[in-house]
Formats: sequence, structure tokens, C-alpha cells
Amino acid sequence: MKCEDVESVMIDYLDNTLEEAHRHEVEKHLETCERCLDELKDFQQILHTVDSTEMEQPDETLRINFYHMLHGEMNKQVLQNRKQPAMPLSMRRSSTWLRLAAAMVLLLAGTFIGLSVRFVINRQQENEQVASMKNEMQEMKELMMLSMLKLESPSQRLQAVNYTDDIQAPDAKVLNALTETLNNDRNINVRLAAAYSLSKYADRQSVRDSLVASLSMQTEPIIQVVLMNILVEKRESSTIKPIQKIISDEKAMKEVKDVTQKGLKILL
Amino acid sequence: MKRVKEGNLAELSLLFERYHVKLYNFMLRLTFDKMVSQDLTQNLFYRIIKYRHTFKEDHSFKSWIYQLARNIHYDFCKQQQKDTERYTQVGEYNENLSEEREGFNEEEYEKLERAMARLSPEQKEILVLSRFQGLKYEEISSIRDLSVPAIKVQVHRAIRQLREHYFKLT
Repeated sequence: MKCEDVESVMIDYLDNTLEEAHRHEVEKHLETCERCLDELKDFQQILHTVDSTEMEQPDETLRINFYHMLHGEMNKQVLQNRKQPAMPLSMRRSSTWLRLAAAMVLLLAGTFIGLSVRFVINRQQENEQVASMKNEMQEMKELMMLSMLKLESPSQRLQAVNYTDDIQAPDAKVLNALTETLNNDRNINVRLAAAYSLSKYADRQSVRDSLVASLSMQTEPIIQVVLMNILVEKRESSTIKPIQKIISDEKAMKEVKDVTQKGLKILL
Repeated sequence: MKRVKEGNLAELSLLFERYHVKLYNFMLRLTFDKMVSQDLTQNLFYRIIKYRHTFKEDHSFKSWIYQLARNIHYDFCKQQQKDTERYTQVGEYNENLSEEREGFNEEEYEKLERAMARLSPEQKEILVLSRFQGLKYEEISSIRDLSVPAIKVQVHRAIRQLREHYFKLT
């Protein structure tokens, strides 16, 4: 092997991409040729410096601005194809509730527009080796949702609840967070959204149990009606108890009682 | 990205989390300027949001964003060339970067950056893609729309050039 042959494959040699036999030839040459060895060392040094250069972290404003842009675009999309959510059957019958629900939809849309910038999520350590991106996305989304639920602004919490629609198989942590929100969130829109999100998993007994428990705690008429509809539809018999409580409650609205009576008839 | 195209914009935040540090560093190694890199990366994600419909599903998302990143850097260079005042700075070493950097082997990095600044824009770019960003020849080949052997030749040529500048600086 001549010097120029070795020179031409030096980078491959250092990258360890040469075949065994080829490699040996290069090594044999290097043992006797000091000039090539020096050159190899030069290459080695520079490649080492290049390869050990670490990634730098950008300023946090990059993330903030990105989420700002993203939310702007999402709001645009919401306005473009705003769809009315499907309403429970008994709501459609009562015009008062229809109007109330329509107002809710408007309110929800309104809060979307009011979405603000600040949005902090716990950043996950990037792990390029992780084979399944899907899994990673899922975890990311849960993380995002869980931390967003703790935020000050109702619209952000609302957004967080809506994120759960994208989580294919939410685990107990997510469901608990939703239940917690349904029971304790200060904002009725957020509570309502949590109820709708939970309704998608009403096939699970644990979810139905927490919905029943929640029903006996709720005082807001619309939430009571929504929860009742979900549970009655699933023929959850343990709903009877909180239902009877509502019927005997003097302060309960007439409309709520009407819906409750109907539900009770179905369950009994 | 497929789901982003279908209208699920929230997915974009995941792609952002996955790629923004890498892309920022891509810009940083090319421009040697933190502020500019920050702006260019911002601009890049703006384009991803705006032009999400142009993404072809049978392509890799990774090559798509690197293509966008290249275009943005290219536009930036052209803009700089127009700006005669700035023109004198093109290719020259920006002092800010090394001053702010802390850590191991500072001297070597500084030298490396000065050597990098003397490469041609094409050489700098291919070196950044292949070595600093750790992309495979196959990936660069799909970004640049060139054959794998051609990419390999270019990378090696860039390393040789870098080595020459690097040891001249000693």
C-alpha cells in the first residue's frame, strides 16, 4: 500500500468503516510510515474535537414563542371548523337546555380565543435511541396534560383537558387527574370538558364509579345533567342513589329534576 | 406529522420538543451567532406550521425539516450578502460565541470554530449535517438529493479542508 492509498481512506479508517483486510493493510503501512501516522493523528485530533462538541441549549424564549405561534394557528383552526359537540338526548328535548348548551359552546370557543402564551411543560430528556416514537409522544402528551392542568388560566386547563382526547389509552394517572378536575376545578367550562372527556372511558367500571361519586358532589345543574346522561346511557345502577338525592333536593332546578326522573325510569 | 397534516396541530409540540435543540445547533454551527440562530430556528418552526400541508407523507419528516432549515439558512446568507455592511462579517469569526462558552477544552473548540468559519458555506453545511448533527450519509443524501457516494466524497473533502485550516491556525 502506498501513502496516497492510505491517505485516501484515513477518515474511513478512523470511522471504523473499513473491512477487516483493508484495515490491516492500512495498519501495516502505518507501522512503517511516520508521515502517514502523523497525518492520521492530525485527523484523529480534529475528528475528536468535532465529535465531542456538545449541543448547546437555546434560550427559553424559543419555546415560548413557538407555543405562542402554535396556539395562534390552533385558534385559527378552531374558528375555521368549529363543530358543535353531540348533545345528549334529553338535552335536545328541552329547549332551555338547548339554549344553555349553545351558550356553553360559544363560551368554550371564546375561551379558546383567549388562550395565552405562557405554557410550561416538563421537558423530557430527549432520547434518540428510543425506538418507539409513538410511545414517547404518548408520554409527552400525558406529561403536558398533567402539568397544564395545574396552570392558573382556565383556558389553559381547558386545553389540557382537550389534550386527553389525543391520548389513546389513558392510564389511571390521567383519569384521576380528569376526575380531580371534574370535582374541584374552579371553572365550570373546565369541569364540563372533564366530564365529556371522562365519558369516553365510561366503559370502564372505575371511571363509572368515580362519575357516580362525582354526581353526588356536584351542585351545578348542567354538570349534574351531563353526568346523569352518561351514567344512564351506560345503565349504571349505582347511579340511582345520587339520583334519588337530587329528586328529593328542594333546591334542585325543575329541569334537572325532570331529566332525573326520566333517567330513574330507565334505570329501574 | 401525518396527524399534524390531518389537523391535529397539538402534535407539533412533540416534534418541536424532539427537534428544536438539534436544529438550533444546526444554525449555531453555521452562523456562529446565538441570536441569529435563535431567530432562524424560530422562523423554521413558523414555516413548519404554515407549510405543514406541503409535507409529503411518503417522505421522512427529518429530511423535510432539514431541507427547510437549509433553505432558511440560505435565505439568511443571501440577505447578509445584500447587506453590504454585514457583508464584511460573512465568514469571519464571531467573537461572542467563544466568550460565552464555558467548559472543557475551550481552546480547541475556539480553534475549531475559527477553522469552521473559513470553510465554504457548502462545506460548512455538509460538515455540520454529517458530524455535528450526526446524520447518516443516507439521510443527507435524501436531504440534498445527491447520491450517497457523492455525499461521502463531499464530507471527506470538507474534513480535509477543515484539517488544513485547523492546523494552519496553530
